Amino acid sequence: MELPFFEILGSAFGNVLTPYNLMLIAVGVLAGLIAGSIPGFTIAMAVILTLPFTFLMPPVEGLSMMMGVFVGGLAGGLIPGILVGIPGTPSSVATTFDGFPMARAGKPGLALGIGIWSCFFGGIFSAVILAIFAPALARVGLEFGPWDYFALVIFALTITASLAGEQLVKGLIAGCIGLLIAAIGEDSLNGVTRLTFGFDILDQGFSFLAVLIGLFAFSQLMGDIRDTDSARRPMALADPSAARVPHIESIRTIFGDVGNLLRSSVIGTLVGVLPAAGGSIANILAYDQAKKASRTPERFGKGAPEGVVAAESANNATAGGALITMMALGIPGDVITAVMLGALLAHNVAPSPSFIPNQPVLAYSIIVAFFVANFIMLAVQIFSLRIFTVVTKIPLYALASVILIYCAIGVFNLNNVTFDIWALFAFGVLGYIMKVLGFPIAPIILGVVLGPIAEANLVRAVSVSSDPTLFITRPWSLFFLILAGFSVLFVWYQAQRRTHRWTLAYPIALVIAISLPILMMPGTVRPVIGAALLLLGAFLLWRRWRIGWVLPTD
Amino acid sequence: MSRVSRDVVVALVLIGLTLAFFWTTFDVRRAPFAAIGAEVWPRVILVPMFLLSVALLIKALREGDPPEKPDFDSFRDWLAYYRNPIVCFSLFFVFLLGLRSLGILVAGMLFTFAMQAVLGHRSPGHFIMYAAVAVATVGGMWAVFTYGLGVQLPRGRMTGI
Repeated sequence: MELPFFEILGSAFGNVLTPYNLMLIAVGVLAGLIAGSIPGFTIAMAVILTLPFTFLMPPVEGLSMMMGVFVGGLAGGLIPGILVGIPGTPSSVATTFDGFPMARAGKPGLALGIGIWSCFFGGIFSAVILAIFAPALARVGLEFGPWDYFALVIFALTITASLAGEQLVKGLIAGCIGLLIAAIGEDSLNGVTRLTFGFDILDQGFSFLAVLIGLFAFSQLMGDIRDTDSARRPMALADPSAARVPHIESIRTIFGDVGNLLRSSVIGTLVGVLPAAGGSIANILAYDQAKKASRTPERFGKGAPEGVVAAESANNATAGGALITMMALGIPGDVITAVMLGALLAHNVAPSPSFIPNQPVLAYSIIVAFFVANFIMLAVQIFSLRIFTVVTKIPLYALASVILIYCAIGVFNLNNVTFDIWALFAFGVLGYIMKVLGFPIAPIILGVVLGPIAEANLVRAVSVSSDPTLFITRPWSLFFLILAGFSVLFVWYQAQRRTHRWTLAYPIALVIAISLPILMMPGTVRPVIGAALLLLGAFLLWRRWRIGWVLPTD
Repeated sequence: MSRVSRDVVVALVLIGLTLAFFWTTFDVRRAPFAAIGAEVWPRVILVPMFLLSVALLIKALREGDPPEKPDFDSFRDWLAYYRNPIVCFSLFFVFLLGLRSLGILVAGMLFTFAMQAVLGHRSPGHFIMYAAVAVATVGGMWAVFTYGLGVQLPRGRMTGI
């Protein structure tokens, strides 16, 4: 029997708002803020290090803590970004564009305040969107057959690879390597071993987390400490008095620019929903849009508060977006949610379209924990900014030596076998070599996560019907395959946008192409949307015809 | 004589690995009643991977090395450039070898100390600080897992902890 919505929500709040759980979220937020405020120490690493502690906790408590780390980590990057011009995380790159000039102009407190409150607003905005849209998307996800799921995974992998930019081929190869790593050992459906080259120790395959931590944490840290000077340099900061924040003025500033705040939060949430596109893209995209929409674009880059508002609200809003995709479809939105997915699986919870309907209390507890984590993040940031200014003085070599051992302990804790630590080492070496050779790491990680999902759905699809045309005749499958094709082409589109005429047709072709599968979908609303998109495509084509296929000269 | 582009070597290695993996798929046992065999999925991955590796090879032959690739005049230069990661990986390897006899607590402390000593400043004062950091961080984490979470971390045959 289905529980009424408010009863589910009440139970979720009851689960999350216990003193012990709130303390766990606060600890998570603090850990995330510390991680985020240290350049080179990524949010994913912080979540990975938190993971072993959560294994022995009930799912709600463990995941609440991880939500705290996630939210805190995203917010923490702004501190060094504003005070010393070095972003703590890639998600705070655009924050430095105006945050650092503001700090240098004698307003570090105001810049921090605007950043903190923008983070909070972006996070809360995306939490509300998450609560509203995740169940709706899950309902849509229930329509997915194995063909559609397989196509969705292909889309997720191509979009990840396309983010490699100029190195598209290497990005796609990296995705294939990730899929291949996940295929080593017994296959999950028949229990038949494969790709082990006769080594019995590989029969069970590799632990997902050992692979993930090895590839990600090792490659990241080794890259950071390669140069002795940067490994030894402490992040000397401005005077701790810089951490004094005028909150009223900060709030007044961001709500005086509410259009920018809302637009950036929407951009952040939408970018977060896209598999593999994270805060690092969202904050730059939102900053760019804020600059384009501004009446005084010349102020950007010289200490404009709007720049900080845009970058930080978009950055934190990506979290809610990424969680929508993870919870509703079981597809991780980025490396951090890939780790979260691993955590859920470790707690015997498998996110999928049936997750929210079947386990509504747990699902809403996660959403509520994310919501509450944003409030706790705000409180912790307000009261302990000075701590973070001290934390950033730790030299990287000390940090790296400790993190690597913590990773080893955490990985061992998963299955209690030392082979996992060896796997961590082996994938650390592989990850670093690949990074040196110009291969992006994110597609490998997502390949490892998505491989089993892709295989299971491919086998299911073939078991149900041997007709391969179903991959292109089913609307959702066709929709995702079209998007996958366009995401691969996007790299060339970006590179040749102002030099080749074919790029003028790219957006028009995209609109027309995606309208076709939407037109094929059942019901009334979606075909109407499809028809509207088709008309829009036709209009754009007609307008381009009128103007002529001429490249812009500006 | 012009040098072979790095990506050419990478592409050739990938092609070799792809073929080796493809070869092993012929040794996969066929499960009775399986809709599709366990070898199918790896082949689905390996075919595009092979094609992509060939594409990388062609691209590398046409374009040469990427501009951001660092150039080295000798092996010594290369070694100097990658010294820190090589040392860290070597230390971690030694830590793994010592795990069975020393246990994770002692081996972990030694690794943390050694890595700081290699990468950080070298003076008696710094060494004392590194030792303190190693004992406090690894010991603290070990205590949390052992006593707080009840996890049995690897014990050393020689040390008993």
